[in-house]
Amino acid sequence: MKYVILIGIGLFLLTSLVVGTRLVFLYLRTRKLPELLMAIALLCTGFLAFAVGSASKILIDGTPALRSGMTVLGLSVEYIGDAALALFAWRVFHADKRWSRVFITALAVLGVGAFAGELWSGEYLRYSDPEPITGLWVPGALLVRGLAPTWLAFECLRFHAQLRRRVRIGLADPIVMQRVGLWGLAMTASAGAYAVPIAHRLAYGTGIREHVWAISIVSALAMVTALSIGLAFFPPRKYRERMRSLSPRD
Amino acid sequence: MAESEVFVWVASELESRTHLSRLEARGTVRLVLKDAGLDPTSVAAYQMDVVLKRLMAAALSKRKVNDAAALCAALAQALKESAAGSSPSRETAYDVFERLEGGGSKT
Repeated sequence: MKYVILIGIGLFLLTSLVVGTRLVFLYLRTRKLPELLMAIALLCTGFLAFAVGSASKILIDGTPALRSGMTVLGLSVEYIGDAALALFAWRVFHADKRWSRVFITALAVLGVGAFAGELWSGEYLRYSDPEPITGLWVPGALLVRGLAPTWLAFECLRFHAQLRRRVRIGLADPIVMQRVGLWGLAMTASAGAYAVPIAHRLAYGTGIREHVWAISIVSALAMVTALSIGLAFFPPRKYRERMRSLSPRD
Repeated sequence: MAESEVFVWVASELESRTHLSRLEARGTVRLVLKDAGLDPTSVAAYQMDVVLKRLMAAALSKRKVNDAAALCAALAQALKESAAGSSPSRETAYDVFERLEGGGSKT
């Protein structure tokens, strides 16, 4: 079971690193903000935060100060990645709408407040030790960080439904339609990967590594995210041909 | 949120060339765009061209507009020649996702 869990999380780390790096190169060619934002999101939240966070939990058996520093570093990187994800959703889907400016500002305030609260209460240390939480800062902050993938999942799935109608009249490429759906699926799984630790913290007070079933669910969700992003970004030739066959013939 | 120039142009032309009121013309265009998975705030001229050629005539016939097919063909032609038809379109979500692939063929 341990190896299956590691495969899911490892695949997620690897996909985030590879696709994030490719998006950096894409940004260097196009100089367009969305690819830069998604690159930051994948590299920070998907790779660095996970890697640093795991290191602070598993590999570092050193001083409390070192573990505390690693946890703060991992959390900071994760907040940056989440901010990039929310900015991507805003910039791509609603950049010119007034309500979205209010919404993204509210998300920023919530993010800063949640991070400050975790640090102020000292509850951030509960990410890297097996002690149960004593307040609601950790599940609350997880909820705030889960808002960005939840929002992007909603936008991608809504846009995917629109593109399905456009494909029927030849106004959209089926591959792009499917790509949007895959990003929607990836973000849904990613949002689910926040929901499981929130529920676990509320039920048991501790992190998910205390129960194999909980970490297995997160690992499975990480695998879904990795496979969806991988297929969206690197569609195999046969898959591409199958998608093209969905185009209207006239 | 304001509608796109193309949406406003087509709705206004429908209002002036048919018996439809302003509300009916705008509502008809909105419904047809929704059917096509398009948004009145961001619809581009090339998208409206396809909608006029493939979907609009049926919707207008249902609303008892005479010779809807010829009217739509005339509107599509007039749209091409209008300022609305040549207005530059801004980057859309579709453009972004079209670029997000490993091959990097779309830049």
